[in-house]
Amino acid sequence: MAVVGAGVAGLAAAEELAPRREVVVLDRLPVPGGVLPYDHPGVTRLAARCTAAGVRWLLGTTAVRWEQGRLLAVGPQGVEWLDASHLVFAGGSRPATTAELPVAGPRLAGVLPAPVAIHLAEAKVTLGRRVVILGAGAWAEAAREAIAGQRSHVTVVTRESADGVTFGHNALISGWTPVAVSGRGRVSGLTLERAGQQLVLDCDAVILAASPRPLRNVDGAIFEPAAGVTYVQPAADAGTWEQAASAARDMVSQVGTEVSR
Amino acid sequence: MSERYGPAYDVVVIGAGVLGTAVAARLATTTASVCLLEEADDVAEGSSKGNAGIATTYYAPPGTLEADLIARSWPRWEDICDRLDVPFSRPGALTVAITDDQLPKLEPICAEAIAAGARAELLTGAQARELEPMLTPECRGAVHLPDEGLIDPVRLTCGYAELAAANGAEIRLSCPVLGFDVADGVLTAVQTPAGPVRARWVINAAGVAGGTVSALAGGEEIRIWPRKGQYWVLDRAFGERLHKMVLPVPMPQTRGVQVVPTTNGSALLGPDAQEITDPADKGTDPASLRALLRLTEQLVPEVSLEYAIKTYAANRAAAEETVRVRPDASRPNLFQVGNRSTGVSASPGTADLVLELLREAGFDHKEQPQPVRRLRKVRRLRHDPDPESLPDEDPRYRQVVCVCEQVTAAEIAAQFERHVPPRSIEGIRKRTQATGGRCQGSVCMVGVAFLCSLHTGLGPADIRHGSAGATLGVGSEP
Repeated sequence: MAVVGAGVAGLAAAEELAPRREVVVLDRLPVPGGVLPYDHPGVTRLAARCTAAGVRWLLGTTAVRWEQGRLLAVGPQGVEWLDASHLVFAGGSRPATTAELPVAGPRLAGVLPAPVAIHLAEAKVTLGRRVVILGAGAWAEAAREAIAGQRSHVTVVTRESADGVTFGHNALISGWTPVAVSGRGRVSGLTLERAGQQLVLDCDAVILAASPRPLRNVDGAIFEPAAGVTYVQPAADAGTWEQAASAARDMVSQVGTEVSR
Repeated sequence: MSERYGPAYDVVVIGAGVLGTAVAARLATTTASVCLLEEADDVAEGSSKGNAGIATTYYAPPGTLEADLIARSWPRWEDICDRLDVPFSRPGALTVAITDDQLPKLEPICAEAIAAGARAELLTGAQARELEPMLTPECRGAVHLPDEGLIDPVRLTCGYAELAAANGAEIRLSCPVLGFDVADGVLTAVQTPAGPVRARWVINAAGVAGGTVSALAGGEEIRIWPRKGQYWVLDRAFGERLHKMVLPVPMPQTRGVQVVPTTNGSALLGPDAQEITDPADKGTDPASLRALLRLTEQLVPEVSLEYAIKTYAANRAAAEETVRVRPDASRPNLFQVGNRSTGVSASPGTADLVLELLREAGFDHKEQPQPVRRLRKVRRLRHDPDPESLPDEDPRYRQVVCVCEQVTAAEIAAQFERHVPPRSIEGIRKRTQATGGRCQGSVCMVGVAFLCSLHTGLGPADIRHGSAGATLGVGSEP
């Protein structure tokens, strides 16, 4: 069995499956952990248990294509087809794109998906002076944390009520729907709508962190149902790592239990 | 004078869209010296970037310049695309009647297509649905154009530019035209911010800016305005099930809103047509995007936002004289080249015609004995029949950068080794598709930016997202 994704969900699923089947875990990154640090206690504990249960690791290896019975994997060892009776896909989540939200307008610099914004901020790139974060969930909070040192003015925009916003900000706008970005080359405005009314926020960066959805990027395993594929992608706001791990175990509890043919 | 003005070029081509690059590539295979000037910081930044990628076999009535240029072009695509490493296929197109009113319009379309030199056949609704099972059951009948092709218009433009450069053409990007020097009614130099560029012949292929360039040259007054077209891009989970391009019965101004596959497997819904005034306006708007969905659902009911990857808008160069390939009426060494819709489809024929017209006007350069005709093919992980052997060619094939589009570090690096390398994340996307997939760079944009840093020497804050001045960030933290 091939488990794609070595975040908490993938690790917990691999541990659950290991007693039943031969399991290999792949991850694009060279270390386990996914969105958590590799030395997070939950990650190290789960990874150790996987190793003890006989899980084989293919880290730094990207799975790109699933055809029933085999998985195309690309990594330090080369480009190779791995034989696998089943694919367990634990790719985590990503925020919605502008097309998915949908937010119209030109294609502009400064409009960045939260995972990109976070990495750039870690590389000391100042994302903007007036930053709008779309969304209020885990991705929004992580983005806020990443730019906390940048002394930017941060406005959080959420379609729903403001109750869920637990992190700091300079302004909060709730109950409005973002409909379009505007600007020349770089974003300079975000248009919001509510009951026929429009509001334009001045900004020079928009971080997309709303409406998270499962990240799916292995061809042949994009849309459900896909033959031979089980998705282990608990909601982005699944709670603690223990809760996410437990949800992942439940999701694979029936996988690989049938008698091998 | 020659010291201040630098070397004189036999031909200066203005505009590095599909027509300007095609003309430059064609002229560069002669012994003439060629210089290509482009205002933007990359090739294919105007209409050529935002079109539907259709290499058409029929668009205009027989006997027109447009029909002639298309007929001269379409049989050659397999050869051209093979040489220039451009994705191409011929899935064929269906022009579909979905009401009884539209049905009588099909026969004249079919007859005109055949008269214009294309292959075409009339189909019943049932026959059409056999060819394209996703077609609406409302389909009453269709015209089938079996040779209609799909092409990657951006990689075609890059390919032309690359071929031009390989044959010695000079390509100057970020080089807008400010004016012209004229002596005795003849253009002698093109003024740019980097100084004058002396020219014996000038080709105006400036697309939407063609009217402005002509005015600066003291040429004919040509009114060209931007006609905006908006698109949805749908996932290849949808696009790969689409066998045919699906078109409505045409409308007076345009072919109407289509559902077409692309060479990379995705599908496009669009374009609509909106007359605007500002050529820099390339924004989509919610109402137009909703309308596109409504219109395309009538043709292919499975069209759904569930598959939406991105939206974009682009401006075609609309003009009363829809296709121009001719000398200017007042400046004898200026040639006007433009096309409001079929620039890609007509580009090989247009380039040949420009050379013929130049020769009639006294241009006396022969073909080079051994010009470069073929570009090196870059193998692509997603499309390679033997992916396991890729790392033997370049170890960087073991590093996937963009997962959605399966783009490796080797493919990106190869673009930086070309004569016209990418200069931004958008430049990399145009050439490789990296960041252009389902997650729109959510996973890979940082990796792409890093590679861009590596190849350009710029720090991450200075990496450009798209156009000049539009960097990823606004500065660096201490």
